Amino acid sequence: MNHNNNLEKRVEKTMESLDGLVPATASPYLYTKIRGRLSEDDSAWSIIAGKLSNPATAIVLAMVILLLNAWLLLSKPETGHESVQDQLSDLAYDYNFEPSAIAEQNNVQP
Amino acid sequence: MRDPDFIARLQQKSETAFNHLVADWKDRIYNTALGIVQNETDADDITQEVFLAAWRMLDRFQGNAAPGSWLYRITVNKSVDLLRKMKRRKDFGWLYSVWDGPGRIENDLPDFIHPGVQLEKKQDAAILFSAIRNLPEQQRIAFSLQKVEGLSVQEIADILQKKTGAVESLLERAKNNLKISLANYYQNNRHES
Repeated sequence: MNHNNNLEKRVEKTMESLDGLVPATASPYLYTKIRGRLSEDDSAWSIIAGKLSNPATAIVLAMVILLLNAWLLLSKPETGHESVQDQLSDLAYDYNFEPSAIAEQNNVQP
Repeated sequence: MRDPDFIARLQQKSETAFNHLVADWKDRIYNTALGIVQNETDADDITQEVFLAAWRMLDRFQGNAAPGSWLYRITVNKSVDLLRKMKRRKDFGWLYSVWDGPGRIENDLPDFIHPGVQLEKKQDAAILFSAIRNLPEQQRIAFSLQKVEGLSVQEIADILQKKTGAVESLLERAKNNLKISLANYYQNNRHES
């Protein structure tokens, strides 16, 4: 019983510890700091630098570049296939390699 | 402060009017932020952020509203943003540190002693502030606004945009939760009681 009363009194005393609190005061240089930040904000380069220095933005930008690279690489094989076809045609033309002509040469005349 | 001429000059981005606004409100904004976030550096940053936000949003400020409630509301929002950021950092740990750079979580904070607490009450106040940190967000804000900034229930209701009855209920629950928390603390640390 006595212990409970003591505990209650202790809790009440702690609850009252903020009574008569004197409000805290801000830094005397606050206005100078705000003016400095306002003039920093006005510069377009500082906005860009601020955005880029954010790790989240940097990671997103790196992902976009990687995805762009992957897309470019994956879209390449089709054009590669076409160029191989072109090279074969050129080779056949240079060496007069015409399958139909060869077949005609081996024709046995009756 | 409700002078329409002063508000008109603020909305025209008069530096002199803005300087007056900062001079009149900086201590109250700092003290409010300090009561909620319980860290001097964070409270200083929040005070700067509040006035920067106010400067940018002056054209959206409605002249018939009290600038005080408006500034207090920005302060509460900025403080809550910081508390939530620290909570997310605590919940998501390494992932958050990669995504948003290094930072503190609230548990890292040392025991907070408000500079305006009377000398003989400092130890009790540190225990009370520690218990306040564990209150639910809205209770913590309402209790801090009342006990640290000394605002009335009506003023708190204006800031939190709630009815006075709702604020009274928040304060009552905050006090009950604090009493339970303190009783547990003193039972576990009998040498301090």
